Amino acid sequence: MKKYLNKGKFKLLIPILFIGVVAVFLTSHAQTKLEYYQKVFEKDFGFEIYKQDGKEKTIDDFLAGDGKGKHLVLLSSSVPVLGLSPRRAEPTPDSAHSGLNLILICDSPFSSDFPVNFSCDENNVFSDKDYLVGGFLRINSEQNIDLWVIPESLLLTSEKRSETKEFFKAIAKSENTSLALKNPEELKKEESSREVLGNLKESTVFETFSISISMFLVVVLTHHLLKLLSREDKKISFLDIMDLFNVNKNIPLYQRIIFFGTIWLIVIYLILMSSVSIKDVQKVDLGYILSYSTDCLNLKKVITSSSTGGYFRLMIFFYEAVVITLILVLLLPSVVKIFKSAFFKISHAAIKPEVKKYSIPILILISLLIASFVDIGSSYWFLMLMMLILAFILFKSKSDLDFINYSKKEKTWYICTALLIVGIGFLLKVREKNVEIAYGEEDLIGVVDEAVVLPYSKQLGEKTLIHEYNFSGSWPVFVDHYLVYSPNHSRVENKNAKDFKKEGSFYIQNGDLEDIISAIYSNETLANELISTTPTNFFRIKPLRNTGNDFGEVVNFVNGEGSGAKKIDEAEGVLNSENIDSSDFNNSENIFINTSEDSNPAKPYTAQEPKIRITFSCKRQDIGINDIKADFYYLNEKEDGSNGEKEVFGGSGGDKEVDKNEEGNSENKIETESKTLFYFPGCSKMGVPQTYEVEFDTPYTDSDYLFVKLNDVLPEDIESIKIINGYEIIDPVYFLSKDGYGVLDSQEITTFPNSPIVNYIFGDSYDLSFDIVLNEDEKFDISKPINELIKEGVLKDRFLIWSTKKYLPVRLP
Amino acid sequence: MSSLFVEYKLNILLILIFFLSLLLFLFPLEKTLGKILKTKVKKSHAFFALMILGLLIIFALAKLSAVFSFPMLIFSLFVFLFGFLSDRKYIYLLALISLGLTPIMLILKMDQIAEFFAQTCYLLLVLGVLKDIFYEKIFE
Repeated sequence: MKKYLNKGKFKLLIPILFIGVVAVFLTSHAQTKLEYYQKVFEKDFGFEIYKQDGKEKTIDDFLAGDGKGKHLVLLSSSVPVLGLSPRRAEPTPDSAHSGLNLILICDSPFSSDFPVNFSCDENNVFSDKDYLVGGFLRINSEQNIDLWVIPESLLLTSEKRSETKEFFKAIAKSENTSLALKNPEELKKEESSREVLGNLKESTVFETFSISISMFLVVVLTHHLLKLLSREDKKISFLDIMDLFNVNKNIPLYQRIIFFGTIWLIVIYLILMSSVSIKDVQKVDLGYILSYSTDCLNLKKVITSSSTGGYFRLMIFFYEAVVITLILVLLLPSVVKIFKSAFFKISHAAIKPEVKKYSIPILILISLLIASFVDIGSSYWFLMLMMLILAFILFKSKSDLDFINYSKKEKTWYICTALLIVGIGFLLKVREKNVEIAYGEEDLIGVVDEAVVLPYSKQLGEKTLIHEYNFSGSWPVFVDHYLVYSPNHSRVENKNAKDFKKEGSFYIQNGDLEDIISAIYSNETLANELISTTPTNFFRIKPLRNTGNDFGEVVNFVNGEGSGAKKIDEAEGVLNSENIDSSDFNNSENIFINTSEDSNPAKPYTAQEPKIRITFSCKRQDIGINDIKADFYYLNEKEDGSNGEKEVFGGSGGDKEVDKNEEGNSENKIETESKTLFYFPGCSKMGVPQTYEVEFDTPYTDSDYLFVKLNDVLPEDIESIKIINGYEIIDPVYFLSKDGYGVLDSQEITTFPNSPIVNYIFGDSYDLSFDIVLNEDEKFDISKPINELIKEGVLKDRFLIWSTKKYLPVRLP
Repeated sequence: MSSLFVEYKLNILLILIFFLSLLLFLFPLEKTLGKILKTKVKKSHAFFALMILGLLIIFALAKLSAVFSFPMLIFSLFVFLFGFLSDRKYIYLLALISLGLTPIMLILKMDQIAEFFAQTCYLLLVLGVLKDIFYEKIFE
């Protein structure tokens, strides 16, 4: 046996054995409808699909978190068979943890009330308009539910399937942009650095660099052959050429080992890739192998697939990395050799003295010309190249630099030319400044995609306006915080939130919290409008240190029976005695009763520090953060007797004080402080509220109010918040809260169609007003208001076009 | 006018640096500088200091793009100089090999690689011609 298995035969046997083993794993079986659609969604639409083989894995495994990050494809006709009732699809603690990603293909009538009411059949899906896009239903909620309901008819013909695919692409792009709705600044930063890299990849410098690298590699690989071919001393024989490929002669032992090892690895890799190709496309497809191999080198995809259990791709990635490293190791000695030779040649090259004499001032004059006339932002590489060439020439002539002499005539000529260049450049810049800007024009939707849905992130070129863009639809369109289109309204007015009036139709935009708080201080109507009746993550209290028990929102009680509870301010939200958990205070001996008549009593002595009691709704088990941080906002008032005055208002018995200092407001500044309240261990059970009570150390301030925002917590995560100060329980006043772009509050008056609508914006804003005049096709040209905003410098660089409806199509396939 | 100076302050600074470099070559400014600093200053030292300042201004103006481009430009210039200073036979031989490989790659349907060899052939021919014309005029 040992004799029979000699070295040569053993080499032959290994690949055969390997193919045999792979073939065992590639046993084919009949394809079901579900498997067909799984393949379609995976291969054609690019979803990560959870495949339940029917043998080992079940849908319960998926719901238990086995298909983490993947989508489960279901047929509506098979749902009862598969045992997944809509009720069962509700997030269990485990599935909610990983997310519930479902693709339901409707091939028979189906209806469900989870997560929203919807029904579907082979041709249609019916639900709230908010969730319908391109003939299917899409819900991507913050409660980790990602649901697609697709009528089968959309997948049957190539035309419909291609349209659906375009919508999938548009939604995927829009979802990336949706992040901007939550954190616009972060996204703009991320996009701008991504853009820098993208632009750099397409720049002349990168192109030249890649050509230089590849040519250098070609030289490294062919330098033996080049030497041989350019030999003049003797004739080149066939043996000489064969000698080139004689590995045993040309390279040392360690490299020989690496060489043969790499060859073996490459052979095994090719066999492996051929097996993958046979499995996936039923033939050995070189194109498929190449794309699969390059895909496996994509680090982003490797990380995604490994996190969702795609360990094969991870293995291939490491295999490829090993092969590439071995090839690099093999090439390294040649690279070093060529580098040494290049350095030797460059360092020993001697430039002629007359070249030194004239090239230096000419290069400087060219640099001056570029710096004076051309925008440095786009020609920086040319300037750097000039400086590098100058540095090279100087490096070559540093010893004889002092001996280069210029005649008086030459000196005068060079200096006059330099002054002329600088002078003309300066005059041109002055002229440019005085001449009106000549704008170019570009399309609002600058991508070639067949389908585009909002939100859409627009990168605006410099000095560019938007081409005419006619739009009609039943949803409003916003550009950053500005309303540029509204259906059923004859006029649109964008105003500053400080001018808020509760009349007619209006939107109140979200904004920076500092701006919102500043506006709340200056406009009582706005403050009342923004108060939320349900608990949110943004609330207001009176400072705990300076005013003692002078809380607008204080409720006192006697021995937990609630008999002494008094409502101080009706407008500020009231806490009923039933709301108080009396058990916490059963042992209280000191009772302090605060009444509205005595609004400023002496602060009682309490040994206890103020505490905050937060009850989380636990609608999501994992709210995505480990610690609860609070941002405190308060008004830092500067004494300004002439302008400042404080006015008490607030209607029915309230003692709400709002700073009415119109001019003085500019003197007042919103200060912020951030503190970590506690570490959040998570909810023990989904849907069961959980309460945490910790010390509440607020910043010292003379301000009337202290605003608190719980960071990275959704308003829906909060069930209630109580501030406990000694024996008092304070119910804060909750305000509407949102992250990023969005409408905080709105009012639609439908009784008067064609009435104007006002869009209120926080912070510095431009008053943009225009009439909505429809053209013959009943469309409105939204480029007009957008161009006005561009000309005013409100919109520049990158801005977001969005609507209150998610995935609003602006271009259909 | 003052707004113009504020807007273009870095450009103005860069122009000043280039202008100073020119003056440095035409006049013995390094001696005046040496007297001020009370140390011996070489022309090349003063020039390199100005160049570094100029580079920093370009980095400030073009930010990340300039920072990434700088090493790429150094390498590209290095490869160009290496080619320019190499034996012309190597350049033309490599151009011929690239020329031969282009149709072979096209036959093998490796269009992108064929395009690369065609590009390499063209660039090597340009390099060879440049070397033939300018080498002896520039280098000793």
